[in-house]
Amino acid sequence: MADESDARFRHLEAKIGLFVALALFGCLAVVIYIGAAGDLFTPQYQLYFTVDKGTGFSKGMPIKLSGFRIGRISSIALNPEARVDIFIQIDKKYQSWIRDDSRAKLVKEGLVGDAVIEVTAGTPARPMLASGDTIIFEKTKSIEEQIDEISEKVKPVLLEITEIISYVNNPAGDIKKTLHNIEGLTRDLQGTRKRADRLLEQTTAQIESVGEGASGSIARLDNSLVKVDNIVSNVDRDLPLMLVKIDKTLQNLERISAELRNAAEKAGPQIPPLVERADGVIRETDSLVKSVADMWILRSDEADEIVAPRLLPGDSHE
Amino acid sequence: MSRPLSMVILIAVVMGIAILTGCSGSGPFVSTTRLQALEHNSRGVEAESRGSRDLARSEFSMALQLSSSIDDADGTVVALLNLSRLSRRGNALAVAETYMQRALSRASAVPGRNVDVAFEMTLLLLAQGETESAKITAQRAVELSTEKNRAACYNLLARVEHQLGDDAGAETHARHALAAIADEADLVEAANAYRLLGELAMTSGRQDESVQFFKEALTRDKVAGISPRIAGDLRFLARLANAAGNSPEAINYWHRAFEVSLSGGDRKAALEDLAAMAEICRKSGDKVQTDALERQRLELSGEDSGALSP
Repeated sequence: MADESDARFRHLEAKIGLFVALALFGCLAVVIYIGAAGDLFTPQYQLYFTVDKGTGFSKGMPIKLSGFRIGRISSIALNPEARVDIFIQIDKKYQSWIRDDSRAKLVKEGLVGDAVIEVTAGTPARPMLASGDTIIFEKTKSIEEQIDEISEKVKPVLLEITEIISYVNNPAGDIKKTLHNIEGLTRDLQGTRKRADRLLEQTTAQIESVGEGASGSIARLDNSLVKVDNIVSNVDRDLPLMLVKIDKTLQNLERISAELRNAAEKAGPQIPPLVERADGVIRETDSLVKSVADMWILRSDEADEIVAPRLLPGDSHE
Repeated sequence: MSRPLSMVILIAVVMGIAILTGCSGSGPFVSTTRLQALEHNSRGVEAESRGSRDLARSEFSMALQLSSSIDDADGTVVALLNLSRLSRRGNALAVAETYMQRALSRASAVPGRNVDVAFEMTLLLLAQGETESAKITAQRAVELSTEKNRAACYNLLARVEHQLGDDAGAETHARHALAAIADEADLVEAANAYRLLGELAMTSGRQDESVQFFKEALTRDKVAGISPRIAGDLRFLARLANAAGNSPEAINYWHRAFEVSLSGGDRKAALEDLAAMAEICRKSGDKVQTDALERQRLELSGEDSGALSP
């Protein structure tokens, strides 16, 4: 039994009670903290979606909306169709953002970041998803798949580049030959330039001598121009008279042509009957001639032969 | 002029007109279709004589169509014979045979045309190389022949026999042909007979007789005006002269043959004549003349190839 007279035991019950109370309070605080961290005290509702493979998903994986965590994967289960049902817990307060056209997709936060499920906000006009509803899951390509795809696209380009490089490097190829030819051409051009320089010098000397001769020619040309000037002035004088005459002739021609046209218009309708009558006269004349030829005095044996068809002439030795 | 004389003249004129018109016969009636067929047939014959074979074929085809449309057997057979002859001359022997078969099937309706059918059939068989069959049809043609075409039929038979190697038979029938030609009216057949006799005489070594026959043939061919046959006669005479060792005469004949062929448009034959002349000159050692002829031949053949080149 403790001695109540010892000062250390004085108010001992009160001290123990306080200590236990503090311990209990600490435990409670820890529990509350852990519960708050694990959303134990936040009202939530559950959605789910189904994927072909569960690769990349893990229990507790955060669900984010516009970069904010709004929930986590609560469970992953294989369904009877050998597909994977992913159940997600979303904080109730975000429910108004998640509509039936919202999409969930598996993304990576940065190139080497953690995988999260990104949920897109739905159209406000669409109905909200209730607990237990299915959210549409949008499949995204994995990094490996994307790399494979890029690699497939890049492969032929690399092959072509390899071919081009080998073609360019081929000593017997066109490019090497062309470069070689250009080199030769450049060398030739230098020679050509030297020759052109010499030629220019010679030409300059010749032009100088031609210039001297040209002054004589210009003097002669001057004389010729004077003559041409005279001729032009003559033409200038005579041309109006000639034009007047030509004008008159054309007027006459126009008048004659109009008269001819009138005559043709008048005679035109008469031509067909005239031709018909002429044809009739010819037929009658033909008949008359045949009748005359048929008269007993004039008729010969040949007349009878007219009614027999003619055989193409031929002989025994053709 | 006195009044009585005028009256006499007037009466004479009136009587003359009365005689002319009153005694005129209307002749056999010929339908318009038949007349058209006859006209097409005549146009075909004229076109062929001008060398327009396509036009001739078209005209004969029209004549055939018109004659068939009125069941005119004579017109149909003649049109078919003309088409067959035209095709044979154009070397379309299969076509010619088709027309001939059709003509044969209708020939029984026109007995008067049987000789023409047999004659053309013989020529077609000769062109086809069926000489034995040709002899049978030629004999049939002789049997059916009339005074008008007997010489041609005998000549044809003689030609077939010559091809078959029966020279004796050929000579006999060629002479029959000559005998059948009344007062030498048929110049072409007379020339044919003489030419064949000339060939037969040459084969049997009767050179002088052969020359005479070819000269007779040449005379008639010249009157008939058939250029290739004149050139042919001259070539035979040239060969005969050459065989007799008379080179100048041979060259003279060959030169005439050359001129005839060249003027007649047969350059190939003309070139052969020049080659033959050059050969004679070469053999006689006349180098200058040989070279000149060779040069002429080269020039002519150059013109030929130049004309042919596009």
